[in-house]
Amino acid sequence: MEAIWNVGLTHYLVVSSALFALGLLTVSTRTSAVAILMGVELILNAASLNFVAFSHFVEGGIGGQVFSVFIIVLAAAEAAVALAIVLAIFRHFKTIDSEDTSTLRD
Amino acid sequence: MELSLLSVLAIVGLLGLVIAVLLRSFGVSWGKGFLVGLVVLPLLLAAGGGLTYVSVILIKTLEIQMGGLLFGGLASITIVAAAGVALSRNILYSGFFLMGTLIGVAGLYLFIGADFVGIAQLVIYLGGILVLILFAVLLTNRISDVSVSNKSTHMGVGAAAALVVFGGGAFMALKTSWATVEAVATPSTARMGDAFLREYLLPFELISLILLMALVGAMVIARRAAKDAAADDIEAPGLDRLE
Repeated sequence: MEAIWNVGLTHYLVVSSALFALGLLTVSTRTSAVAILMGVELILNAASLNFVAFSHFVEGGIGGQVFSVFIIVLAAAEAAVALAIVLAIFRHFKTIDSEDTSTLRD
Repeated sequence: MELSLLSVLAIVGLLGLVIAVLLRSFGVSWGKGFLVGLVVLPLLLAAGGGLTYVSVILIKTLEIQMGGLLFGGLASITIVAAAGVALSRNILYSGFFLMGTLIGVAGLYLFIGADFVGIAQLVIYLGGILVLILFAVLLTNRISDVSVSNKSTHMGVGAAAALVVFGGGAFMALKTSWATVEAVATPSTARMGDAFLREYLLPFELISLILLMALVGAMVIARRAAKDAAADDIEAPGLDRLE
C-alpha cells in the first residue's frame, strides 16, 4: 500500500499515457480544426511530461528538461502557423468543420 | 490553553448570540437567528471536527504520504481536464479545460523540481498558446451563439483506440523495471542556463531561427490577398491632398 504514495517514475509515465490517449481521442474524433489543434497540444504535453520525468528519475543530466523547453517553443511556433492556416481556411470556406471543408471527390 | 466544558459552552453561546445579532441586522427574525447561531453553527463545527478526526485516522492507517496526496491531486486535475477537452460539447469549454490541463502539467513539473520548465509552461503555453487558441475559437465561430458547437464523429472507435493506447502505455510503464535513482527535487534553472549555453547552444540558436520562420510564415498565410485588401481601402478625407 505504501508503494502507491511513494511517487516514482511509474506514476509519471501512467499520467503521461493517459494524457496521450486523451489527446489521441481528441485528434481522431473532433471535426473542428481548432479542437484538433487542442488535441495535438495535449499529445505534446504528454511527451514533454515524459521527458521531464525521465530526466529527473533516471541518471543522466538535464537533457530531458532542455528538450521540454524546446517542445514548448516548437508548440508555440506550430500553433501560430496552424491557426494562421485555420483563419485562411475560414475565410475561404466560411467554416472550419473538417467534414464540410473536404473537397475530395466522393 | 485548558478549556473546561463550561467555558466551551460559554464561547459557543456567545458566538451564537453574535450571529443572531448579525442576522437581525439583515432582517432575519430573532427566532431564526438564535436557531442558526445556537443550533446550526455548533452542529457544523462538530461535523467539521469529526471529519478532521476521521481523516487523520485514515491517513495514519493507510500510510498516506503528503507528497503522494499532492501528486494525486495534480494528476487528477490534469487527467479530468484532459477528459473535458476530449469530451466537451462546447468548444469554448474545451479551451478552458485545456487551460486546466496546462496548469496541472505545470504543477507536475514543479512537483518534480523542474522549475524553469514549469514556469516556461505557464508563461508560454498558458499566456501565449492558449490565448491564441481562444482567439481562433472566437474568430471562427459566431459569438452570438450561446452554445458553440463541437461535433465529434466515430466516438466508439476513437474511444476504443484511446483505451488500447492507454492500456499499452500503462502496462509497459508498470511492467518494466526502470533503472531509477533516488532523486531529490532540486531547482534546475542554473543548470538549464549552463546547458543552453554549453552543450545545447546550436539547438538554442536553431530554435530562434524556427521562431522567426513561424512568425513570417504566419503573417504571410493569414494576411488577405492583395485584391481583397484593395477592395476595402479606408476612405480618408485628406488622402487626396497627399498625393
